[in-house]
Amino acid sequence: MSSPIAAGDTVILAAAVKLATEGLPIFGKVASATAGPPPTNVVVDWSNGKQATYAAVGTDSSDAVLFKVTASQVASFLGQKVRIVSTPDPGSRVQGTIVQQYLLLDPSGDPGLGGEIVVIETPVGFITTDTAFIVPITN
Amino acid sequence: MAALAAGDTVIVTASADFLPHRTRPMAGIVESLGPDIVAWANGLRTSYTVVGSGGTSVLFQVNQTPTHPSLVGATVQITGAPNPGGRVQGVVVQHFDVADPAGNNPGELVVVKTPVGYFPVPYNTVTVVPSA
Repeated sequence: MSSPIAAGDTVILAAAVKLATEGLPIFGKVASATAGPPPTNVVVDWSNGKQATYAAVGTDSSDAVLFKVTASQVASFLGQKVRIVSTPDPGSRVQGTIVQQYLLLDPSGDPGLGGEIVVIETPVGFITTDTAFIVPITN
Repeated sequence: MAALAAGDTVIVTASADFLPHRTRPMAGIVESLGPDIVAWANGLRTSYTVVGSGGTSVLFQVNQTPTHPSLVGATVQITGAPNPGGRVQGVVVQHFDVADPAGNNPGELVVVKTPVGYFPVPYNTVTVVPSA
């Protein structure tokens, strides 16, 4: 278990990984937060220049508004061409290249999602999914 | 689904009302209720004093694990509309259950990216196109 969200942490919006996103997820840096548990009044400076204050950020993956972003704990798939196997995809027509990979922790510091997240750039846009749902394509 | 609560994933109802769009419906997380504050995927936060129900819904709550197996990544044709020959096909880029803020009127939507835009349509109006 890691520590709860605090100043200096890198975060991502939970909404950005709930549905396949349009464009790459944005990242933020926590400027300040009131220590919890759970942490409150979390001020985030986002990579698109916006700043937002979140009165409540939740505690676990069921109510998380923000996730902490940490380095991947498994071998990096960055640059790997993959296909998504969790869906009916006859012929695996939709393939893509992994452009982001990271481990998400819920606001209390637990790996609540229990998995690594990858962002795949495909011909139809960016698809965010769990590493458990991808299969590398061999040459 | 249960009534809207903190931590729920939502989309704005208007993003699923008319076809086609140039962007996919954007997800948000309910930060708190009364008023309903939503933290959107692009960093914006919005406070909704009224979210309605049924036909007056402003927000749909979303279950990102749909009832049927996810079609994300599948090539489909839209069969619930006049579409002779299935000419307009596309790839499913989003697939989720929806319900109004009270948790009623459930449905299952897929968002199909086609050459002419994104089509949010009911799950049962698409057919998977098999490989040649």
